[in-house]
Amino acid sequence: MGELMKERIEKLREAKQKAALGGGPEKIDKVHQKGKLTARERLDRLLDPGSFTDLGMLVGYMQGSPGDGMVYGYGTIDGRPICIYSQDATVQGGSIGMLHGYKMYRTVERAMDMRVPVIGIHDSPGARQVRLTGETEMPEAMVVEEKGGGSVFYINTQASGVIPQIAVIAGACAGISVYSPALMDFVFMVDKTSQMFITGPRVVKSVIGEDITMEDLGGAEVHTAISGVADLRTETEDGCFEKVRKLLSYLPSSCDELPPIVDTGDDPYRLIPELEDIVPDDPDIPYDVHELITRLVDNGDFFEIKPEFAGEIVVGFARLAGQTVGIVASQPSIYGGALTVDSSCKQARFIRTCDCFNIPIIVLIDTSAYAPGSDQEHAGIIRHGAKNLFALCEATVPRIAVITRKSYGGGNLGLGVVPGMATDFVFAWPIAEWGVMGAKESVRLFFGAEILKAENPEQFLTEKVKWYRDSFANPLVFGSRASIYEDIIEPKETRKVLARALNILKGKKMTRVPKKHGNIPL
Amino acid sequence: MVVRSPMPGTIISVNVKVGDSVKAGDVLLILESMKIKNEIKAPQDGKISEVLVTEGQYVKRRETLVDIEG
Repeated sequence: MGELMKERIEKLREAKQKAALGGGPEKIDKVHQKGKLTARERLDRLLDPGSFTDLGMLVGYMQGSPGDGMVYGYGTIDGRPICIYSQDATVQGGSIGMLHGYKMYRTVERAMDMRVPVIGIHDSPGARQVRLTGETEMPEAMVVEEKGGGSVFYINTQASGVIPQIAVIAGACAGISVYSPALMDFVFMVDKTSQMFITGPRVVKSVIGEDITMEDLGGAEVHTAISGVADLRTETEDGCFEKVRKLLSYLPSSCDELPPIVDTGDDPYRLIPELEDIVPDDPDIPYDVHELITRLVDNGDFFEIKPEFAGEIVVGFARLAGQTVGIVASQPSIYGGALTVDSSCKQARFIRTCDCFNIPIIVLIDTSAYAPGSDQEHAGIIRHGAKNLFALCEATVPRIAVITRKSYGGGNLGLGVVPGMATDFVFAWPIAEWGVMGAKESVRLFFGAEILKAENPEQFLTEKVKWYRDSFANPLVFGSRASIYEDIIEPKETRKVLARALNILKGKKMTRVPKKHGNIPL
Repeated sequence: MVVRSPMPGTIISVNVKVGDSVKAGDVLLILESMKIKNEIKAPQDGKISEVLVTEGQYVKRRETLVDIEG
């Protein structure tokens, strides 16, 4: 080995060692004191051990900004390749300078070229502040390159629907570090240590005079339960990484592939007699639809998305016969399973996510219809409800629906079981009720005067409701007059029926009218 | 721990008063929404330190209903 080679190798080793420490041991201690992990520790824990390949770690090294506040590269999760970046809060606070932004952009671009998922771990206040030094030279932070921080929105948008994009929020994030995640498919947060806002409490106070903490402004609870910006939160960063790994197990690496098939060991044709006891006959008595979902899917394993937001609809991933399915289920124990502004957004988003990634959808219906009232109307239930209708009518993945009990009014439309809305199979349980409104309301509407005149109005109503239910709100009567249902099934057969339907739908292909893109109501 | 309303609706019965001891799962009140009567249960054991709603009252989603200490 020549002298120069020897010297350069030594210098390189030293540089890499130093760069791997980011902002240095003191700043790393500070990160740990906050109960957080460093950018590199996060990668080690999320990825398969030893699988991470570092790219561009020496960028910014000579300028005293190792990696320019970002670690990026590629690795594997459960042996499947992914591209990833992790913002390093120990270097310039994790702020997004030119090189940092470029690395962010390139991670997404590369992932899209390779057709593999991209994961971004965010811990950044956003664009780097310009340090005014009094010098006449243009400060680095003001130099804008084509592939940089701001333009990451462009590449996120191009990658949307091509590869899964997953954002982890692992610190107080603002600016680019919240809008880029918002353009991705999933946003996961860590309780108490991560926040998202367009701008922090200090600016909020000075601009509009509102006093608010970071947590109350944009903490994990705010975004998972109130705003719906984030999909779920975990207590710890490790917990969050576990969720990311699990989520990826349900998804294909790109839209060109089908989701991985897993041998779950659960008999797809298993009969489930206890389903007969979960849904009460009386449509006014609620039950938790999770009880139904976990019994139907393989090994009771259900990965819920947005569990705390708009609980009247439950969405998430599971497997049936080893195949990934997206579950969309009305939740009778919250808001009567009604369709609301928030639930429409949640449902439409989930349906489109499934449609992007070739994931068949199973719809479980027990809904009182769209939620009425000024709250909903003024918040635009028509516009948001239409978004949901659009998503249902646009999706081409296999879709199977089971009406377990109520499907009143617009609920039929909002869950796509009206014939012609492209649900491939609609099944009904024997107590399924179909109608513009429920039995009691229909009787009140048509026999209002007679009820008032009756000797015993309560008894008259009960008898009329029973008569109505037997004669009209009865799938046997309804289903024999029109071909609404593919079949009326016993609850215990549901899993078997779904598994068979999924199997025949495997090769489903739909073509659409060629156009630029539809104009989904937003 | 505050118990918030998971949905908008009308309180049709309040089963607890300040000072009552409750166990996780006890029904604190009944909330009617979309004609369905929903039991709002205690998320943990404790003592009721505040009841912020009365029968007949309309509540919004996430409105605080009851505070449980302990």
